[in-house]
Amino acid sequence: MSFLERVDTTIRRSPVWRSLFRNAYPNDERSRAYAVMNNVFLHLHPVRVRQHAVRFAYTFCLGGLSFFLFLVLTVTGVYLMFFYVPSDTQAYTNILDIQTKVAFGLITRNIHRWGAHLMVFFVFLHMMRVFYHGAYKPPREFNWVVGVLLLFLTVGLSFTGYLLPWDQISYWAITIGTNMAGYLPLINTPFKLLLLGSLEVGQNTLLRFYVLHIMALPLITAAFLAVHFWRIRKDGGISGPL
Amino acid sequence: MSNYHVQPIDRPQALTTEALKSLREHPVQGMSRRRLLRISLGGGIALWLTELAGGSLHFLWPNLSGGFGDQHFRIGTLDDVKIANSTLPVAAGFPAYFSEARAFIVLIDPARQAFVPGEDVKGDGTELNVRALYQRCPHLGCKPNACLKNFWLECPCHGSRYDRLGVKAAGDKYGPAPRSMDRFAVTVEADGTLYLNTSKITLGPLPVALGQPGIIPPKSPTGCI
Repeated sequence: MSFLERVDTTIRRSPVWRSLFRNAYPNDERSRAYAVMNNVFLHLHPVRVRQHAVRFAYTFCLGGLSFFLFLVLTVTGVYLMFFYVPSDTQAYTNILDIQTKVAFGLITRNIHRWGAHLMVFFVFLHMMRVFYHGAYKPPREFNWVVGVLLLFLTVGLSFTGYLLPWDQISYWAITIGTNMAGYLPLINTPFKLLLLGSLEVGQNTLLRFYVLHIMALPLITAAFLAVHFWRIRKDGGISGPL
Repeated sequence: MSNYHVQPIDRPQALTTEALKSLREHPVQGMSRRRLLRISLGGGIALWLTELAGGSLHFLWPNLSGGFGDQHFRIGTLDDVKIANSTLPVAAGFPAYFSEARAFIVLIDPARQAFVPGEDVKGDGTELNVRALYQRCPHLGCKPNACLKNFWLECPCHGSRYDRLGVKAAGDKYGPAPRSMDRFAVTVEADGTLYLNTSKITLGPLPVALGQPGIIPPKSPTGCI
Protein backbone atom coordinates (compact mmCIF):
# COMPACT_ATOMS: atom_id res chain seq x y z
CA MET A 1 0.00 0.00 0.00
CA SER A 2 1.52 3.28 -1.09
CA PHE A 3 1.66 6.34 1.13
CA LEU A 4 -1.14 8.13 -0.79
CA GLU A 5 -3.41 5.10 -0.54
CA ARG A 6 -2.82 4.97 3.18
CA VAL A 7 -3.68 8.67 3.55
CA ASP A 8 -6.80 8.10 1.47
CA THR A 9 -7.88 5.17 3.63
CA THR A 10 -7.20 7.06 6.84
CA ILE A 11 -9.33 9.99 5.67
CA ARG A 12 -12.18 7.75 4.55
CA ARG A 13 -12.15 5.87 7.82
CA SER A 14 -12.04 9.00 9.97
CA PRO A 15 -15.17 9.80 12.03
CA VAL A 16 -15.58 13.19 10.29
CA TRP A 17 -15.63 11.64 6.81
CA ARG A 18 -18.01 8.87 7.84
CA SER A 19 -20.28 11.38 9.51
CA LEU A 20 -20.45 13.55 6.37
CA PHE A 21 -20.68 10.71 3.82
CA ARG A 22 -22.64 8.04 5.57
CA ASN A 23 -22.77 5.64 2.62
CA ALA A 24 -20.04 4.34 0.40
CA TYR A 25 -20.13 5.75 -3.13
CA PRO A 26 -23.45 4.44 -4.53
CA ASN A 27 -22.79 2.08 -7.40
CA ASP A 28 -26.02 0.13 -7.72
CA GLU A 29 -29.67 1.11 -7.86
CA ARG A 30 -30.42 0.25 -4.28
CA SER A 31 -27.55 2.23 -2.77
CA ARG A 32 -28.34 5.19 -5.07
CA ALA A 33 -31.90 5.27 -3.76
CA TYR A 34 -30.51 4.95 -0.24
CA ALA A 35 -28.14 7.90 -0.75
CA VAL A 36 -30.98 10.12 -2.01
CA MET A 37 -33.24 9.17 0.88
CA ASN A 38 -30.49 9.81 3.42
CA ASN A 39 -29.58 13.30 2.21
CA VAL A 40 -31.34 16.26 3.77
CA PHE A 41 -31.54 18.19 0.48
CA LEU A 42 -32.08 15.29 -1.91
CA HIS A 43 -34.73 13.58 0.20
CA LEU A 44 -37.23 16.29 -0.78
CA HIS A 45 -37.08 14.78 -4.25
CA PRO A 46 -38.51 11.51 -5.44
CA VAL A 47 -35.99 8.72 -5.14
CA ARG A 48 -36.87 7.54 -8.63
CA VAL A 49 -37.99 9.68 -11.55
CA ARG A 50 -40.13 8.17 -14.29
CA GLN A 51 -38.74 8.29 -17.79
CA HIS A 52 -41.45 10.59 -19.20
CA ALA A 53 -40.74 13.11 -16.46
CA VAL A 54 -37.24 13.89 -17.65
CA ARG A 55 -38.47 14.66 -21.18
CA PHE A 56 -37.71 18.35 -21.63
CA ALA A 57 -40.87 19.01 -23.63
CA TYR A 58 -43.06 17.73 -20.80
CA THR A 59 -42.09 20.23 -18.09
CA PHE A 60 -39.86 22.64 -20.05
CA CYS A 61 -38.00 22.82 -16.70
CA LEU A 62 -40.26 25.72 -15.75
CA GLY A 63 -40.48 24.93 -12.02
CA GLY A 64 -36.77 24.22 -11.89
CA LEU A 65 -36.01 27.47 -13.68
CA SER A 66 -38.20 29.38 -11.22
CA PHE A 67 -36.31 27.81 -8.31
CA PHE A 68 -32.97 28.48 -10.01
CA LEU A 69 -33.94 32.14 -10.38
CA PHE A 70 -34.99 32.23 -6.73
CA LEU A 71 -31.48 31.07 -5.80
CA VAL A 72 -29.86 33.57 -8.18
CA LEU A 73 -31.96 36.36 -6.69
CA THR A 74 -31.05 35.32 -3.16
CA VAL A 75 -27.32 35.35 -3.92
CA THR A 76 -27.30 38.61 -5.92
CA GLY A 77 -29.63 40.15 -3.34
CA VAL A 78 -27.15 39.40 -0.56
CA TYR A 79 -24.41 41.06 -2.62
CA LEU A 80 -26.57 44.15 -3.18
CA MET A 81 -27.38 44.39 0.54
CA PHE A 82 -23.74 45.24 1.25
CA PHE A 83 -24.15 48.55 -0.59
CA TYR A 84 -27.77 49.51 0.03
CA VAL A 85 -29.25 51.45 2.95
CA PRO A 86 -33.07 51.63 3.09
CA SER A 87 -33.15 55.34 3.85
CA ASP A 88 -35.14 57.91 1.91
CA THR A 89 -32.08 60.15 1.64
CA GLN A 90 -29.55 57.47 0.68
CA ALA A 91 -31.37 54.71 -1.19
CA TYR A 92 -31.38 56.29 -4.64
CA THR A 93 -27.74 57.43 -4.37
CA ASN A 94 -26.80 53.92 -3.26
CA ILE A 95 -28.42 52.47 -6.37
CA LEU A 96 -26.44 54.88 -8.53
CA ASP A 97 -23.24 54.04 -6.63
CA ILE A 98 -23.86 50.32 -7.07
CA GLN A 99 -24.17 50.90 -10.80
CA THR A 100 -21.21 53.21 -11.26
CA LYS A 101 -18.70 52.80 -8.41
CA VAL A 102 -18.99 49.21 -7.19
CA ALA A 103 -16.95 46.62 -9.08
CA PHE A 104 -19.37 44.30 -10.92
CA GLY A 105 -22.16 46.33 -9.31
CA LEU A 106 -24.00 47.06 -12.54
CA ILE A 107 -24.10 43.43 -13.62
CA THR A 108 -25.12 42.30 -10.12
CA ARG A 109 -27.99 44.73 -10.03
CA ASN A 110 -29.01 43.89 -13.58
CA ILE A 111 -28.98 40.15 -12.87
CA HIS A 112 -31.14 40.80 -9.81
CA ARG A 113 -33.57 42.95 -11.75
CA TRP A 114 -33.85 40.76 -14.84
CA GLY A 115 -33.93 37.66 -12.67
CA ALA A 116 -36.87 39.11 -10.79
CA HIS A 117 -38.78 39.79 -14.01
CA LEU A 118 -37.93 36.34 -15.33
CA MET A 119 -38.96 34.62 -12.09
CA VAL A 120 -42.45 36.14 -12.23
CA PHE A 121 -42.60 35.14 -15.90
CA PHE A 122 -41.45 31.54 -15.33
CA VAL A 123 -43.67 31.04 -12.29
CA PHE A 124 -46.59 32.10 -14.46
CA LEU A 125 -45.54 29.76 -17.29
CA HIS A 126 -45.06 26.95 -14.78
CA MET A 127 -48.59 27.49 -13.56
CA MET A 128 -49.88 27.38 -17.16
CA ARG A 129 -47.97 24.16 -17.81
CA VAL A 130 -49.40 22.51 -14.70
CA PHE A 131 -52.88 23.72 -15.63
CA TYR A 132 -52.77 22.43 -19.21
CA HIS A 133 -51.44 19.06 -18.06
CA GLY A 134 -54.25 18.79 -15.54
CA ALA A 135 -51.54 18.21 -12.93
CA TYR A 136 -53.60 20.11 -10.37
CA LYS A 137 -56.12 17.25 -10.13
CA PRO A 138 -56.20 14.87 -7.15
CA PRO A 139 -53.97 13.67 -5.60
CA ARG A 140 -51.99 16.84 -6.42
CA GLU A 141 -54.65 19.42 -5.51
CA PHE A 142 -52.91 20.42 -2.27
CA ASN A 143 -49.67 21.10 -4.10
CA TRP A 144 -51.60 23.33 -6.51
CA VAL A 145 -52.71 25.40 -3.51
CA VAL A 146 -49.12 25.61 -2.25
CA GLY A 147 -48.13 26.69 -5.75
CA VAL A 148 -50.73 29.45 -5.80
CA LEU A 149 -49.37 30.69 -2.45
CA LEU A 150 -45.89 30.66 -3.97
CA LEU A 151 -47.19 32.70 -6.92
CA PHE A 152 -48.55 35.32 -4.49
CA LEU A 153 -45.25 35.29 -2.58
CA THR A 154 -43.32 35.77 -5.83
CA VAL A 155 -45.52 38.71 -6.79
CA GLY A 156 -45.15 40.07 -3.25
CA LEU A 157 -41.36 39.85 -3.49
CA SER A 158 -41.47 41.59 -6.85
CA PHE A 159 -43.77 44.32 -5.52
CA THR A 160 -41.74 45.02 -2.37
CA GLY A 161 -38.48 45.05 -4.34
CA TYR A 162 -39.92 47.55 -6.78
CA LEU A 163 -39.95 50.34 -4.18
CA LEU A 164 -36.34 49.94 -3.07
CA PRO A 165 -34.61 52.00 -5.85
CA TRP A 166 -36.65 54.92 -4.47
CA ASP A 167 -37.02 56.71 -7.81
CA GLN A 168 -40.12 58.33 -9.27
CA ILE A 169 -41.42 55.20 -10.99
CA SER A 170 -41.14 53.06 -7.85
CA TYR A 171 -42.55 55.76 -5.59
CA TRP A 172 -45.66 56.22 -7.69
CA ALA A 173 -46.06 52.52 -8.44
CA ILE A 174 -46.19 51.80 -4.71
CA THR A 175 -48.51 54.77 -4.17
CA ILE A 176 -50.91 53.30 -6.71
CA GLY A 177 -50.48 49.75 -5.41
CA THR A 178 -51.15 50.69 -1.81
CA ASN A 179 -54.07 52.89 -2.84
CA MET A 180 -55.57 49.74 -4.33
CA ALA A 181 -55.12 48.10 -0.92
CA GLY A 182 -57.25 50.98 0.34
CA TYR A 183 -60.21 49.46 -1.50
CA LEU A 184 -60.11 46.17 0.41
CA PRO A 185 -63.34 45.40 2.22
CA LEU A 186 -63.41 45.95 6.01
CA ILE A 187 -59.64 46.12 6.60
CA ASN A 188 -58.73 48.80 4.02
CA THR A 189 -57.40 51.60 6.23
CA PRO A 190 -55.71 49.40 8.88
CA PHE A 191 -54.08 47.26 6.17
CA LYS A 192 -52.82 50.33 4.33
CA LEU A 193 -51.51 51.88 7.56
CA LEU A 194 -49.66 48.66 8.46
CA LEU A 195 -48.20 48.35 4.97
CA LEU A 196 -47.13 51.98 4.65
CA GLY A 197 -46.22 52.71 8.25
CA SER A 198 -47.75 56.15 7.71
CA LEU A 199 -50.53 57.76 5.69
CA GLU A 200 -48.40 58.07 2.56
CA VAL A 201 -45.32 56.44 1.07
CA GLY A 202 -42.27 57.58 3.04
CA GLN A 203 -39.26 56.45 5.09
CA ASN A 204 -41.34 54.02 7.14
CA THR A 205 -42.71 52.45 3.97
CA LEU A 206 -39.24 52.01 2.52
CA LEU A 207 -38.02 50.30 5.68
CA ARG A 208 -41.08 48.04 5.90
CA PHE A 209 -40.81 47.00 2.27
CA TYR A 210 -37.08 46.39 2.72
CA VAL A 211 -37.61 44.08 5.70
CA LEU A 212 -40.38 42.25 3.85
CA HIS A 213 -38.25 41.99 0.71
CA ILE A 214 -35.00 40.75 2.20
CA MET A 215 -36.18 38.77 5.23
CA ALA A 216 -39.85 37.98 5.79
CA LEU A 217 -41.01 37.02 2.30
CA PRO A 218 -37.87 35.04 1.26
CA LEU A 219 -38.05 32.96 4.46
CA ILE A 220 -41.75 32.19 3.97
CA THR A 221 -41.09 31.43 0.30
CA ALA A 222 -38.22 29.06 1.14
CA ALA A 223 -40.42 27.18 3.60
CA PHE A 224 -43.23 26.80 1.06
CA LEU A 225 -40.73 25.80 -1.66
CA ALA A 226 -39.55 22.93 0.54
CA VAL A 227 -43.15 21.81 1.08
CA HIS A 228 -43.84 22.21 -2.65
CA PHE A 229 -40.94 19.94 -3.69
CA TRP A 230 -41.56 17.38 -0.95
CA ARG A 231 -45.24 17.23 -1.89
CA ILE A 232 -44.33 16.13 -5.45
CA ARG A 233 -42.77 13.00 -4.01
CA LYS A 234 -45.59 12.46 -1.51
CA ASP A 235 -48.28 12.87 -4.18
CA GLY A 236 -46.82 10.08 -6.28
CA GLY A 237 -44.17 11.86 -8.30
CA ILE A 238 -44.60 14.17 -11.22
CA SER A 239 -47.83 13.84 -13.17
CA GLY A 240 -47.83 11.63 -16.25
CA PRO A 241 -48.68 12.50 -19.84
CA LEU A 242 -52.36 12.84 -20.54
CA MET B 1 -41.14 13.71 46.46
CA SER B 2 -40.56 13.25 42.77
CA ASN B 3 -40.78 9.98 40.97
CA TYR B 4 -37.04 9.86 40.42
CA HIS B 5 -36.68 8.52 43.92
CA VAL B 6 -39.06 5.63 43.38
CA GLN B 7 -37.15 2.47 42.90
CA PRO B 8 -38.48 0.05 40.29
CA ILE B 9 -39.14 -2.46 43.06
CA ASP B 10 -41.54 0.02 44.72
CA ARG B 11 -43.90 0.06 41.71
CA PRO B 12 -47.35 -1.37 42.42
CA GLN B 13 -47.05 -4.97 41.37
CA ALA B 14 -50.49 -5.03 39.78
CA LEU B 15 -49.47 -2.65 36.99
CA THR B 16 -47.84 -5.21 34.79
CA THR B 17 -47.42 -4.55 31.08
CA GLU B 18 -50.60 -6.52 30.38
CA ALA B 19 -52.55 -4.59 33.01
CA LEU B 20 -51.39 -1.25 31.55
CA LYS B 21 -52.35 -2.41 28.05
CA SER B 22 -55.84 -3.33 29.13
CA LEU B 23 -56.19 -0.05 31.03
CA ARG B 24 -55.26 1.80 27.85
CA GLU B 25 -58.10 0.11 25.98
CA HIS B 26 -60.54 0.83 28.79
CA PRO B 27 -62.65 3.95 28.08
CA VAL B 28 -62.36 6.58 30.83
CA GLN B 29 -65.37 8.05 32.61
CA GLY B 30 -65.67 11.82 31.97
CA MET B 31 -62.56 13.61 30.76
CA SER B 32 -59.35 11.64 30.67
CA ARG B 33 -56.08 13.10 31.86
CA ARG B 34 -54.69 12.81 28.33
CA ARG B 35 -57.59 14.76 26.87
CA LEU B 36 -57.41 17.45 29.57
CA LEU B 37 -53.67 17.91 28.99
CA ARG B 38 -54.11 17.99 25.24
CA ILE B 39 -56.88 20.60 25.44
CA SER B 40 -54.91 22.76 27.87
CA LEU B 41 -51.80 22.52 25.72
CA GLY B 42 -53.71 23.36 22.54
CA GLY B 43 -55.57 26.17 24.26
CA GLY B 44 -52.32 27.52 25.66
CA ILE B 45 -50.67 27.53 22.25
CA ALA B 46 -53.74 29.14 20.68
CA LEU B 47 -53.77 31.83 23.37
CA TRP B 48 -50.05 32.45 22.89
CA LEU B 49 -50.43 32.72 19.12
CA THR B 50 -53.31 35.18 19.55
CA GLU B 51 -51.22 37.28 21.90
CA LEU B 52 -48.28 37.11 19.51
CA ALA B 53 -50.43 38.18 16.55
CA GLY B 54 -52.05 41.00 18.53
CA GLY B 55 -48.71 42.14 19.93
CA SER B 56 -47.10 42.09 16.48
CA LEU B 57 -49.90 44.15 14.97
CA HIS B 58 -49.63 46.61 17.83
CA PHE B 59 -45.85 46.71 17.41
CA LEU B 60 -46.09 47.38 13.68
CA TRP B 61 -48.92 49.89 14.00
CA PRO B 62 -47.46 53.23 12.87
CA ASN B 63 -47.23 55.98 15.45
CA LEU B 64 -48.56 59.01 13.60
CA SER B 65 -48.01 61.56 16.36
CA GLY B 66 -45.77 64.44 15.37
CA GLY B 67 -46.32 63.82 11.67
CA PHE B 68 -49.03 63.85 9.06
CA GLY B 69 -51.98 61.94 10.52
CA ASP B 70 -51.51 63.30 14.04
CA GLN B 71 -54.86 64.13 15.60
CA HIS B 72 -53.34 66.98 17.60
CA PHE B 73 -50.70 68.48 15.33
CA ARG B 74 -49.25 71.64 16.85
CA ILE B 75 -48.89 74.56 14.43
CA GLY B 76 -48.42 77.35 16.99
CA THR B 77 -49.81 80.82 17.56
CA LEU B 78 -50.36 83.36 14.79
CA ASP B 79 -47.01 84.90 15.73
CA ASP B 80 -45.31 81.51 15.30
CA VAL B 81 -46.86 81.22 11.84
CA LYS B 82 -45.69 84.71 10.94
CA ILE B 83 -42.15 84.02 12.16
CA ALA B 84 -41.98 80.72 10.29
CA ASN B 85 -43.02 82.53 7.09
CA SER B 86 -41.40 85.90 7.68
CA THR B 87 -40.93 86.61 3.95
CA LEU B 88 -44.62 86.11 3.17
CA PRO B 89 -47.50 88.53 3.91
CA VAL B 90 -49.19 86.11 6.33
CA ALA B 91 -50.75 89.02 8.26
CA ALA B 92 -52.57 90.06 5.10
CA GLY B 93 -54.18 86.63 4.79
CA PHE B 94 -51.61 84.95 2.54
CA PRO B 95 -51.56 81.13 2.88
CA ALA B 96 -48.60 79.85 4.95
CA TYR B 97 -47.41 76.36 4.01
CA PHE B 98 -46.51 73.72 6.62
CA SER B 99 -45.03 70.70 4.84
CA GLU B 100 -45.01 68.39 7.90
CA ALA B 101 -48.75 68.93 8.34
CA ARG B 102 -49.40 68.88 4.56
CA ALA B 103 -51.38 72.06 5.18
CA PHE B 104 -51.83 75.70 4.22
CA ILE B 105 -52.73 77.90 7.19
CA VAL B 106 -54.76 80.97 6.21
CA LEU B 107 -55.90 83.89 8.35
CA ILE B 108 -59.53 84.44 7.34
CA ASP B 109 -60.04 88.07 8.35
CA PRO B 110 -56.78 90.07 8.28
CA ALA B 111 -58.52 92.89 10.19
CA ARG B 112 -58.38 90.69 13.32
CA GLN B 113 -54.78 89.66 13.90
CA ALA B 114 -55.45 86.64 16.16
CA PHE B 115 -56.76 83.10 16.17
CA VAL B 116 -59.98 82.89 18.22
CA PRO B 117 -59.99 80.05 20.78
CA GLY B 118 -62.47 77.28 20.00
CA GLU B 119 -62.92 74.12 18.00
CA ASP B 120 -64.13 73.55 14.44
CA VAL B 121 -64.39 69.89 13.38
CA LYS B 122 -65.75 70.82 9.95
CA GLY B 123 -62.70 72.93 9.22
CA ASP B 124 -64.63 76.00 8.01
CA GLY B 125 -62.81 78.06 10.62
CA THR B 126 -64.75 81.34 10.24
CA GLU B 127 -65.39 81.55 14.00
CA LEU B 128 -61.75 80.72 14.77
CA ASN B 129 -60.48 83.18 12.14
CA VAL B 130 -58.24 80.49 10.68
CA ARG B 131 -58.61 77.79 8.05
CA ALA B 132 -56.26 74.85 7.43
CA LEU B 133 -56.33 73.57 3.85
CA TYR B 134 -55.13 70.09 2.89
CA GLN B 135 -52.37 70.50 0.28
CA ARG B 136 -53.88 67.91 -2.07
CA CYS B 137 -55.64 69.37 -5.14
CA PRO B 138 -59.11 67.77 -5.30
CA HIS B 139 -58.59 67.21 -9.02
CA LEU B 140 -55.70 64.71 -9.24
CA GLY B 141 -53.65 65.28 -6.11
CA CYS B 142 -50.91 67.78 -7.00
CA LYS B 143 -49.99 70.52 -4.54
CA PRO B 144 -51.36 73.96 -5.47
CA ASN B 145 -48.97 76.85 -4.78
CA ALA B 146 -49.87 80.17 -3.21
CA CYS B 147 -49.23 83.01 -5.68
CA LEU B 148 -47.95 86.34 -4.35
CA LYS B 149 -49.26 88.27 -7.37
CA ASN B 150 -52.96 87.56 -6.97
CA PHE B 151 -53.13 85.97 -3.46
CA TRP B 152 -54.68 82.83 -4.94
CA LEU B 153 -53.75 79.16 -4.78
CA GLU B 154 -52.95 77.75 -8.19
CA CYS B 155 -52.34 74.13 -9.11
CA PRO B 156 -49.37 73.78 -11.47
CA CYS B 157 -50.54 70.46 -12.94
CA HIS B 158 -53.84 71.33 -14.62
CA GLY B 159 -54.42 74.94 -13.63
CA SER B 160 -57.13 74.66 -10.99
CA ARG B 161 -57.42 78.04 -9.25
CA TYR B 162 -58.65 78.73 -5.73
CA ASP B 163 -58.94 81.93 -3.74
CA ARG B 164 -56.66 82.31 -0.72
CA LEU B 165 -59.22 80.44 1.45
CA GLY B 166 -59.20 77.49 -0.93
CA VAL B 167 -62.54 78.17 -2.63
CA LYS B 168 -62.49 76.98 -6.25
CA ALA B 169 -63.57 79.53 -8.86
CA ALA B 170 -66.35 78.01 -10.96
CA GLY B 171 -65.88 77.46 -14.68
CA ASP B 172 -63.49 75.56 -16.95
CA LYS B 173 -61.43 78.72 -17.30
CA TYR B 174 -60.32 78.22 -13.68
CA GLY B 175 -59.29 74.60 -14.05
CA PRO B 176 -60.82 71.13 -13.80
CA ALA B 177 -61.06 70.61 -9.99
CA PRO B 178 -64.57 69.46 -9.02
CA ARG B 179 -64.66 71.23 -5.64
CA SER B 180 -62.81 73.59 -3.34
CA MET B 181 -59.73 72.48 -1.41
CA ASP B 182 -60.29 70.07 1.50
CA ARG B 183 -59.99 71.26 5.10
CA PHE B 184 -58.58 69.92 8.34
CA ALA B 185 -60.44 70.05 11.63
CA VAL B 186 -58.89 72.85 13.70
CA THR B 187 -58.64 73.68 17.39
CA VAL B 188 -57.37 76.93 18.91
CA GLU B 189 -56.53 76.73 22.59
CA ALA B 190 -57.01 79.53 25.11
CA ASP B 191 -53.46 80.82 24.58
CA GLY B 192 -54.08 81.12 20.84
CA THR B 193 -52.11 78.01 19.84
CA LEU B 194 -53.47 76.35 16.71
CA TYR B 195 -53.72 72.56 16.48
CA LEU B 196 -54.80 70.55 13.44
CA ASN B 197 -56.45 67.17 13.36
CA THR B 198 -54.57 65.96 10.28
CA SER B 199 -56.49 62.67 10.24
CA LYS B 200 -59.85 64.44 9.95
CA ILE B 201 -60.41 65.94 6.51
CA THR B 202 -63.66 67.56 5.38
CA LEU B 203 -64.28 67.82 1.65
CA GLY B 204 -64.32 71.36 0.25
CA PRO B 205 -67.59 72.95 -0.95
CA LEU B 206 -68.63 73.24 -4.58
CA PRO B 207 -66.98 75.92 -6.76
CA VAL B 208 -68.29 79.49 -6.55
CA ALA B 209 -68.56 81.74 -9.61
CA LEU B 210 -66.27 84.76 -9.56
CA GLY B 211 -68.21 87.85 -8.48
CA GLN B 212 -70.56 85.91 -6.24
CA PRO B 213 -70.25 86.16 -2.43
CA GLY B 214 -68.10 83.44 -0.92
CA ILE B 215 -65.05 83.85 -3.16
CA ILE B 216 -62.33 86.47 -2.87
CA PRO B 217 -61.44 87.97 -6.27
CA PRO B 218 -57.77 87.80 -7.32
CA LYS B 219 -55.63 90.83 -6.50
CA SER B 220 -54.33 91.02 -10.04
CA PRO B 221 -55.78 89.72 -13.32
CA THR B 222 -52.72 87.55 -14.01
CA GLY B 223 -51.47 84.83 -11.72
CA CYS B 224 -48.30 82.76 -11.44
CA ILE B 225 -49.18 79.95 -13.85
